[in-house]
Amino acid sequence: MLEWIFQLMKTILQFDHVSFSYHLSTGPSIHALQDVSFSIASGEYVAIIGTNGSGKTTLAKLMNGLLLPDAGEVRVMGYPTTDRSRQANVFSRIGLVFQHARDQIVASLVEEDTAFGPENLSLPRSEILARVDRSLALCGAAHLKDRQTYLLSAGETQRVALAGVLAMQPDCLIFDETTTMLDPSSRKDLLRLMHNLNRQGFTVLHITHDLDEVLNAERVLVLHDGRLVMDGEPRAIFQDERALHQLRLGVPFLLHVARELRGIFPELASFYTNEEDLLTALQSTPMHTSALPRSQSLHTKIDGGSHELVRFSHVSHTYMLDTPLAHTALEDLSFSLPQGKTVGLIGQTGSGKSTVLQHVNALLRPQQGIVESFGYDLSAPDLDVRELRKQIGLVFQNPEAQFFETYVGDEIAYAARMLGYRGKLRDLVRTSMQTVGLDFEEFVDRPLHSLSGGQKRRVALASYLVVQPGMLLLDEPFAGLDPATHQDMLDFVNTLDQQEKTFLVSTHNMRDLLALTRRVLVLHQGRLVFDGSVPDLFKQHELASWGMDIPLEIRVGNVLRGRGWQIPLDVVDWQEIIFWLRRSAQEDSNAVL
Amino acid sequence: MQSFEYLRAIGIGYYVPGTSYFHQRDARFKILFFVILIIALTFTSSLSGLLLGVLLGLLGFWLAHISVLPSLRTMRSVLPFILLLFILQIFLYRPTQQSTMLWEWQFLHLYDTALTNAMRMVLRFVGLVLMLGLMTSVVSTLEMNHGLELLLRPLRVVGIQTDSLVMVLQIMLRFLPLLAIRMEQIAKSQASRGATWDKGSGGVFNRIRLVLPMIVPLFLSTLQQAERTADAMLCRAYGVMPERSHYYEYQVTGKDVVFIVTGIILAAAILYF
Repeated sequence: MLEWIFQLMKTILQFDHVSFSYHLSTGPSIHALQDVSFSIASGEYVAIIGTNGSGKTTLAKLMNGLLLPDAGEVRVMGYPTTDRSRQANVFSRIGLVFQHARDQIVASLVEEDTAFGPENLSLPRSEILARVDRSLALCGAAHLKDRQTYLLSAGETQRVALAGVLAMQPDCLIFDETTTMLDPSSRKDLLRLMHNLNRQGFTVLHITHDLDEVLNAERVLVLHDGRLVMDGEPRAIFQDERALHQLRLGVPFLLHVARELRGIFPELASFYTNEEDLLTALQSTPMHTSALPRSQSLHTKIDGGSHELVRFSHVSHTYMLDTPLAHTALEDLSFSLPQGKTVGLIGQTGSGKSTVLQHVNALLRPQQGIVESFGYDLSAPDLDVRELRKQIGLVFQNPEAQFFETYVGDEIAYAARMLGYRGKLRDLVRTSMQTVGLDFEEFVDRPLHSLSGGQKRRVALASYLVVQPGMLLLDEPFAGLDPATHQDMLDFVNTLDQQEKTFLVSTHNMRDLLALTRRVLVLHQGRLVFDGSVPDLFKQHELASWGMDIPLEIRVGNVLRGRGWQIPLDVVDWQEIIFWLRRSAQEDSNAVL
Repeated sequence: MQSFEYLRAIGIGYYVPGTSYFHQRDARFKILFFVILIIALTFTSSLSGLLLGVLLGLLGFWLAHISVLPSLRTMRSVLPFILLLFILQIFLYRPTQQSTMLWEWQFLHLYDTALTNAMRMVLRFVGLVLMLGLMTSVVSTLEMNHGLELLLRPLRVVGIQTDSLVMVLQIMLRFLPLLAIRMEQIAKSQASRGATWDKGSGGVFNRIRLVLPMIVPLFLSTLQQAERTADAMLCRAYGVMPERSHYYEYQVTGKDVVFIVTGIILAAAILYF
């Protein structure tokens, strides 16, 4: 009996055979969650993972009574969420932080936004003042107190959104894919903050599909098709690689690297919670000596020799020019892009990446300086923008959000219709659907809303490829995709790359960059701070001040080179690094024989 | 050439932080001051009163240390309509007995009263734009909300949910710029697939043809966003307790009283000058 009471006190959240369906006015209901049971103890750090559409967000909304279960019961501190008299208590106990921080901000000043929750709880003014200061300080946002919310950076907005939740003084914080859309440095800040809060006694539930983020969680719950399929320590969960692949999740990159390295260095462990541990372990592997001379890499060097497609010289751009909100996005930018190469464009959120892309196909015209694309001078008042845009397609971030037709075929045909390819629409649509790997007969008449996330992203790309442009500009093409879809899209861009299309890809994900391109432009606060090869980029000392990390594979490569392994300096992709390692190891064993 | 910056086309509606005389006044009094003047400008029939209103607007911008240019730019975008109305006013005017004819050509007649009427209309428009521009420049959204909430509070006696009303306004004000940004995004994505959005191409019909398909994704995304915001507000216990408490406290000073009295005198001048 006593133990039962103790258990009850420790349990902050309990799901008891919970099911939930979304009932649509048309069509069948969607079973979002089915028979889910688990409980969360006070002070735990629990990660909840699953692919897009596995029911993660529904789960989060059930936790604080934003949604109520169809069957079963959700209990917060022992009381069911259906008890509406305790609603204020539930909302203040369980804080929910959403993916889009901007949508959570209700006021125009930071301090007022933080005060919003306590005001709603009808707390006395002195208490509100104290809570505002305390919550902002907890999030490291005290200096933002009197700033205007719409002028904050993405990372700052995230902190302010969190402060607003903390001002409710919750015991438990749920982060619903909060890290997904942040750039690496803001993401790292937030993760550190989450762990700090957990250390201070907050229960943290971290919902994500980035598996590398959850390695140092105490416990991992895996959702698949609305069911809870795994529940355990990360070490145990990530042991079962085959099961994770079946769930379309894969394994964290760190463990993938560690396991491949274990084939060569059996002394390594099969589980690490952070990169540093793996690198330290690698440092103590025996020195490698090889009789063979340093081999040449598989790659040819990047060369600017081929035909120049796009040239920027001294381009500057200011948004909201002549208004009180004017801000400079680009300053004195000069570079050129050769034909048939994929070039990466990286930088933090707000560094000017999108602005650059929009200058290439004349959505923005240069205010200062000269932009030349495909032989057109984009400052010319009589520029034929339609001809230019036949050549260059710009695929925006989250392109599915801009769909406006009902059926797949119409959406894809739009550009061809607009650009005057009336006669052969059907053939063009067929070709572009084949290019993105969608079967024409099966998909052409499907309604867009019935597609999965990955299929939608393919349709979005097909809708640009339909006029067979020579160049595609991709703005954060992989943001927000779950691991499997992400990999699909990467492979797909790589196949297109081999068909002599030119790509300019903006991203803040370094690993994508390594997989896609050899040349990279780095933007920092509107200036071009680096233009060169990927291996050279990682030798730059300013990397951290540009808000960038050195990815794991580069660091592993560097450590191994230091241990005497033969890995050419310009090899940066993990698959190639492991190829070179295996080859060296093979040569050694042959030499012994 | 920034044909896509819809937000930039809206000249009024930005708060410009500052420490001028206007900025320092109590929120309630600022709102009342402008509301009185705007009402006066709307209902006055005195030509000199209207002229005074326009001059007061310009003077206000000067006193607040704020550029009048954005407001003028807003006017420029509706100028063709105003001119058209001006011409219609003049030539479709039905003369009264006091009217004297100034000029005549075939079926066109120009009466002096028509001219003053048309001028009244233009001055009223300019005065109102200036006043609204000035008000939005010196009253932050925060002050607008609190000011309105406090000013409207007496209405609760008759059972009107003034708190919710003000919250609706606050959220709406926060959403408008987001809406403009979404619209810009969709227009750009259509343009990069060959739709001719850029300036100077196609006529009104082309524009309409392009806007129609845009409405669907625009509404959809706005609704989704609204739902997310509503969820986030509910999660922070909005509307769960019968009464909210307040973070800010406002105190009236003697300067504020002088300010509002000046406002009333000026309004009277506009009405009866």
